Amino acid sequence: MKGHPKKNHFERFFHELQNHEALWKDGTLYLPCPMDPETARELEKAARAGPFLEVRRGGVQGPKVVFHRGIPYVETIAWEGLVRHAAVLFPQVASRIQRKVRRDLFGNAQPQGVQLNTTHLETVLFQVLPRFVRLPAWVKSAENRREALALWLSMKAAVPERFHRWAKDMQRRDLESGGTKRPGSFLQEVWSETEERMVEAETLRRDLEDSLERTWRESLAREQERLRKRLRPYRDWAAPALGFMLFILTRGTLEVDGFGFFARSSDGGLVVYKRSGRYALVDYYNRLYLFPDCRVAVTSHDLWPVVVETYKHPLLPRHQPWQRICLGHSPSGRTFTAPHIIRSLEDGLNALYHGYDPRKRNGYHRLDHFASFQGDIHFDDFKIPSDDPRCLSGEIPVTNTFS
Amino acid sequence: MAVRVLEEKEKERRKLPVPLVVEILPGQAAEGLLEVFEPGTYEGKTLQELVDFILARQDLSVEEREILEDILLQMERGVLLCAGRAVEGDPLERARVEETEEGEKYYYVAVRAVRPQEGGFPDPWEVPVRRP
Repeated sequence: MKGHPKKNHFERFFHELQNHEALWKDGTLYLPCPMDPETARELEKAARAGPFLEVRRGGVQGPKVVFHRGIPYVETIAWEGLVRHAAVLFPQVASRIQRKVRRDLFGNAQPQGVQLNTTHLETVLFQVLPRFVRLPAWVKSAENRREALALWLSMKAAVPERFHRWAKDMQRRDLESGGTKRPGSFLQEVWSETEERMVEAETLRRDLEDSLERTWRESLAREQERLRKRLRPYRDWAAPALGFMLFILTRGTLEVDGFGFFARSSDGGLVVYKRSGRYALVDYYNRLYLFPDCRVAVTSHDLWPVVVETYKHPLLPRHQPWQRICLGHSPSGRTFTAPHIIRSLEDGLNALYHGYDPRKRNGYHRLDHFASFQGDIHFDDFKIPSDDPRCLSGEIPVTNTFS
Repeated sequence: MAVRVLEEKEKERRKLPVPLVVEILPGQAAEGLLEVFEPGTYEGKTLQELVDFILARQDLSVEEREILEDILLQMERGVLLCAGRAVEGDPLERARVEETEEGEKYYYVAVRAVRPQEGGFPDPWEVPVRRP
C-alpha cells in the first residue's frame, strides 16, 4: 500500500491554514468560522454593539468571535502560548532549529551545561585528586596551586582548543561589559504587537520559525550567562586553566591516572572513582586468582564504596554493577568532604585488595568454592598458574598474603 | 628456559651500583615520604630497618610532616605492605629499576601503610604494628 508522506504536527497545522487567511489581533490567532449566513448576520449585528462577541453556552464562556469584512473569525490560540510551547507542539521543527542555532553559535561541538555542584567539583578537583594523582613539582610549589593544577590538568586531559577560545572570549566579554551584561528578551518584541491584520499561513510559519530561533538563541545566551557566572571565581586565571574549568563544567567528566569522576545521569550525583588496577588473590590452597581492573566509587549522595562495573569478588554479594563493597563496618555519618571521600575510596580499595583472608574464607563467597549449579558465583575463570611471571615479577601484586 | 632467563636478569639487576629510593605511602595515596639511600648504605639491611629509619627522621619539612602523620594514623590499626606482602627481608627483592629524566637508574621500593578492611566480620581487625 502506497502511503502519502507523513506530515508532522507542524506541517498539518499550517496545512489547515493553507486555504484560509487567519486574523491576527491582540497577540491571538483567529481562524475563519464557517456558519450559517443567517446566524452570521445575527452575530454581526450583536457584535457591532461591542468590540467582540462572546459565545456563551450554558453559562460557560466559549471562544471569542470577531468580524472582519463581514466574515466571522473565532479565537483559536494565543501567539505567546504557541511560541512558548512550540518545542513540545512541533518537536521536529524545534530540534531542527535548535541544531541550526547551536551550529551557528558554537560550530559542530557546542558546550552543554551539566548540572554539577561547583562546591563538590572543587572539593574533588583540588582536594581529593591530589591524594591519588602524582603531581609535578611545579604544580606543588606554585603560588596559586589551584590555577597551576587546572593548567596541568588541561594538558593531561588534552582539553580541545575551542574551550580555550571560549574562555578567552568570556574573559573579553566580561571586561567589556563589566560583568553585568544581561541577555535581552526577544519574546517581548513578538508578544507586544497589538495591531489587527490578516496573515497568511506562510507568513505565520516564517514568524513562528523566527520566534523559535530567537527563543533558542535567548535560552543559549542564558546558558552562556550561567556558565560565565560559575566561571567568575576563576576569571583571573590563565586562559588554558579557565578553559579547563569550562571543559569540566560543561562535560562533567574527567579521568587522570586512574582517578576520575563523572556526573551520573540518573540522579545527577557526582561519582568519584579510583581504578583498582589488576591484582591477584590467593585461596586456601595457595592458588592464584587474577582480578580485573574495576572502578571503586563513592557518590555525592552516598559514601559507601561501590564497584561501578559488573564485577565479582568474595566481598561482593552478586555479579553486577553498582554493588556495595562489604567493609565489616558502616561508613554512615560521612559527608561529601575531602577526608571522608578519601577514606571511603581507600576503604573500598583496601577491602578488595586485602579484605579476603584465605584461611578464614570470609565474605559472601569463597575463592576455592566449586560452582555446584548454574548462576552460582565462582572464580574458576580468574585462576592463573601459581608461577605466573606477572606475579613473580611483581607487575601484578598478590595482595592478601601478608597475614 | 624462560625461568633461567629471568634468573639471569635478576642477578644482573642486583649488581647495579645505583641508589635505592624507598617511599612510604599513606593508604592508597600517590605520593609519600621519600628517602634516597646511596649505594653502600643500604646493603645488608632489611626493608623493615630502612622503613624504621625513614619514620624516625626528624628533619622533615611541613609537607613531609603532614605525610608522616597520615602514615602513623594509617598504622594505628593498619599494616605496612610492600607489593602486597609484609615488610621484611632484602629490599632489592621487591625493588624495580627506574630511570630519572636524565637517564640515571635507581632502585625503587614502594611501601604502603594501609588499613585492611575485612568484609563479613563486624569486629575491626587488630594487627600488631611495629612503631618506630
